[in-house]
Amino acid sequence: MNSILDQLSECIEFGKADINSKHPPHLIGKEGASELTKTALESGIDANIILNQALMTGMQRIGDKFSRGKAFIPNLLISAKAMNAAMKHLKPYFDRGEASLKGTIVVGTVSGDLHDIGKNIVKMVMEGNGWKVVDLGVDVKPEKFVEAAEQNPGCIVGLSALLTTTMLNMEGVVKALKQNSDKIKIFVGGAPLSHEFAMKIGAEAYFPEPYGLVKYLSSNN
Amino acid sequence: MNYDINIFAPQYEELNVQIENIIMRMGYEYSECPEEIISVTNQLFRESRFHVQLKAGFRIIEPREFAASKKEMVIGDLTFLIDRMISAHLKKVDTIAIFVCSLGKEYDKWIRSFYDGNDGLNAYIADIIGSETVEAAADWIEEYIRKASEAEGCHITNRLSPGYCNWHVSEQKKLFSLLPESFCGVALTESALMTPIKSVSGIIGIGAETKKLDYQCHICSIDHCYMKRKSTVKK
Ligand code: B12
Repeated sequence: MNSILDQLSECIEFGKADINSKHPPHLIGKEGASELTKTALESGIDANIILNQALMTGMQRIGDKFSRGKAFIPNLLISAKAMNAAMKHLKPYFDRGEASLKGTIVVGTVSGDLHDIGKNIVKMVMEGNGWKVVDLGVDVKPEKFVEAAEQNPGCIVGLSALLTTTMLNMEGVVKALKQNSDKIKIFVGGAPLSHEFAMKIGAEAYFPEPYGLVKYLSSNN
Repeated sequence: MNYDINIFAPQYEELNVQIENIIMRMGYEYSECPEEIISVTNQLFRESRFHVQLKAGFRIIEPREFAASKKEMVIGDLTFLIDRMISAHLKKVDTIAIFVCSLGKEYDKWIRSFYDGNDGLNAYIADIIGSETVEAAADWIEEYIRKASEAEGCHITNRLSPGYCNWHVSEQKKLFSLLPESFCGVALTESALMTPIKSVSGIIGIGAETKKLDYQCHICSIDHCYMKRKSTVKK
């Protein structure tokens, strides 16, 4: 029998939120991320260990499959759902400071743009990977990004855009944020963007998909 | 030719939206898609039609108002900047039809309702279904224009949209200035984005000598474009 942490990783990887989830077929009827997290906490396992050795491992596995083209966005989303089910039990520990998240990312789709699916996926993947996400929504003006950065000292920022017209508005956001704090790290993404564009506007990096950002952050922290 | 403004509200049943294409749009081979995702997709697909308020319309420009060269397309006193990716299609056309289609604002609201309920998976799938549906609406209007043109002894080109084939998306503004305000319920924002989101715009060339060319992906330098990806996958 696998350890409870292994079982939990498996639930995250395959997106099994709780005992009632009908997915994946090989875990039907078995306890899911919610029940297993509760049991693990009750048996005295530290919340940080549950987060880092079970939940993150599961997210990493599905993320790697995604990067290799063996899994797709819906897989990431069902894993994120299972992750949320587990995190509900861990939340009190985070609130009391007994366990900590990796950091805070402020995300938003830049002004003039209403496309939110890409940004929302970034949000879910980051949350699933242990980040606190402050979501500013769509059509976000530079001032709002600056305000959120001030309210969340030490945060990083993720900007999203759909069109070649609206991505130009990213430059103003980068300028405003850097003016306020020159150390702030800003990451950009969205269909029409490129590495060259990110460098030109002074962003830290461009990623074609959010898992690239997750990997970058874990190897650069 | 009929140079009036034409607006239709096709019945959902007239569109050819296929669940297989929706699944494939998410990246899966149909046979490899997890059961859970197929079942959620099926359920949302059945529901999606009740949130669609389809509008599709076009306007054919009078041939004397239209001209195209390698670098420009002129309609009345408006000049559009294009390059050979578009002009290759327009070589033998007499005129163009400008078309717009949209699923309406209820669809955007439906997607939003899933985000509000914190259901990212359903939101994503509903979004993908919407993209597939509005593309099917564009197929519908293309088919209508094809039939109408053939009845007059003409042929049509592929659909060509601002934002594709090196035709800058900001030129949407000029294109929409040739249509009545809020045509098919679609409005343009300052940055040339259409609202409702699930909307498509473009032109279709029409002419007695017109031939349908493939999209010119082989001479295009934009790697992220999905038309290009589609064309490389096919090869
Ligand atoms: C589906 C689609 C549509 C659909 C739906 C659009 C929608 N917004 O809902 C429909 C058919 C309606 C459509 C219409 C149009 N489209 Co369109 N569309 C696409 C397509 C094929 C996929 C977009 C999508 O939803 N992807 C899925 C989501 C999840 O991906 P995403 O938003 O890119 O986000 C991912 C990554 O980019 C990344 N990411 C995003 N943000 C961030 C941020 C950070 C920090 C990080 C790390 C990562 C990250 O992570 C996400 C998850 O992997 C793209 C092509 C492509 N290759 O992407 C073109 C594309 C976006 N469309 C394009 C265009 C031009 C249009 C139209 C203007 C065409 C027209 N004239 O009708 C219209 C505009 C619509 C409008 N409302 O104004 C262009 C935009 C580029 C440009 N030239 O400006 C693209 C890129 C195609 C192209 N030519 O290459 N479109």
